[in-house]
Amino acid sequence: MFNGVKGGELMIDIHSHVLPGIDDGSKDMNMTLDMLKQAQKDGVYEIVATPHYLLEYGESTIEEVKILVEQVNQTAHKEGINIRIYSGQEVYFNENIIRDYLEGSIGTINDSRYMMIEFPMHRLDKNIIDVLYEIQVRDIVPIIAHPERYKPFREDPTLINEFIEAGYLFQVNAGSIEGRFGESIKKTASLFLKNNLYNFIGSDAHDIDNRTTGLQKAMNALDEINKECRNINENIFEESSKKLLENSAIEFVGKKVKNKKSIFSFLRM
Amino acid sequence: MSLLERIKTSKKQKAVVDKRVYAGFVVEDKPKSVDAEAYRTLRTNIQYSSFDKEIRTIAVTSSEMAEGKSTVAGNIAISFSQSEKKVILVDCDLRKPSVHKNFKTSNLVGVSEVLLGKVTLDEAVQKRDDNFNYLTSGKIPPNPSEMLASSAMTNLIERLKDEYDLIVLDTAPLRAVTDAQILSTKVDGTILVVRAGKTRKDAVIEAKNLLDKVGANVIGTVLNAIENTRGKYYAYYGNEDEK
Repeated sequence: MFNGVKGGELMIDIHSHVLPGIDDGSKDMNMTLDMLKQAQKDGVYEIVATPHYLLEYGESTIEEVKILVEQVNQTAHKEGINIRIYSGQEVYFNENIIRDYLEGSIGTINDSRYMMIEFPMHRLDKNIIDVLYEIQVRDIVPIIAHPERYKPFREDPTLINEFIEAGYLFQVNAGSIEGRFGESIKKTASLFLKNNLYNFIGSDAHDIDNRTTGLQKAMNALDEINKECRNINENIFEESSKKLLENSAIEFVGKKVKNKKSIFSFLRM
Repeated sequence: MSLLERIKTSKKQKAVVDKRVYAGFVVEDKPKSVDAEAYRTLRTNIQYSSFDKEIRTIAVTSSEMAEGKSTVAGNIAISFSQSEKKVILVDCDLRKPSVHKNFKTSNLVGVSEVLLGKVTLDEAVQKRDDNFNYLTSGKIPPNPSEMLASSAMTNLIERLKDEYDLIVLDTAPLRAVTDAQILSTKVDGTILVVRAGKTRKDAVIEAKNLLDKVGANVIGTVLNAIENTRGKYYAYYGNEDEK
């Protein structure tokens, strides 16, 4: 039954750069283990490793990711860390996504039907929906990483509606909720959270001091928005993330962003 | 309780419904409906529209955007295929293509790639069933008008005629670009789609003039999205609900 949930319920982190030496995330296995220990302390049991797939940041293929995931899982087990890592990628949007997918360089989270995709930070390409259409007709559902961080969405949050209509799912960064990326990103994340349009939360952890693993702090910060908002979203995250790893169907339960114009806005014209 | 129900009860709000649901074609999904019957009438009219020459190639166009020409083109194509004709629907709207979306299929290769010689016709054509195939637009080229005016396009139509009884071309709107005008000169007949209660009279007249100017054979207009006032009468001949 749905009731007030205390911290400690969120156990799956679907966005992280915990794999060692593969992108701009963890530098080596030691750092990886520290990140995992930190996550464990926070109550996280399962982590999807989503190294960047884009020029310069990292171009490890999904097969290479899987090999590394296996190594980290074994090492973590030996160290007595009770966390399971799953394979994934954070694929940077580009026109060749379908080619890269067909060639096997990019893949989905834990070989499910869900692929994590990152948009450019400062511009919204007009062809995104047409390009991603090709992966959708191959039964893949795009999960858009941290939409609150993209400038076009911050400037006009209603732009996200088009992507809701196209059947995408969305993931919020824990750091965005905490306000670690600034006020504007925090504000946009709050708006999206109130609309319940995120199905997932991720730490987007890159290291141990700055952008680190763990989700509880963000959930506590959510209490500031309001308790009900926290509870609803926590439940959505929990259930959706489980389904993600099981590769079962995930429902979008949010609502579109309304064009917010004050009735007095004409006075300011 | 499912997640959706929980959220609905905890916060009274409606979930967004996936709007990308397959649009569907009435001649296929609701064969007994008034609309489907109208398409069959249209099919007959097209078959008898010419005494001396059988209509083998049809361009479907409209004066402006969003008048429903792709829906009409798809329904015409399917309805001919239902009468045991071998039919292909070709997306020649290289500006805002939609055939791939209507049939929820890939659009990696299509008309553009065939015209540029990147793939063979066989590689690009997608099979729906024994009688009905389609060719999607492919990548949107920088110069659609030139491509459609090329001899490669004429050759493509000729080659399709070897394999199919009927070729239906979905085209861009007339008043926006010259594409449909060009194509109308390459086919046996052109159909102009008009949306009831939306397309303005002068827009239709101008569209017809544009077609006349290039000597197109306009075999008819289709009044699309009309309010159905005769439903009761037609229901005697078979209502969908009775199935």
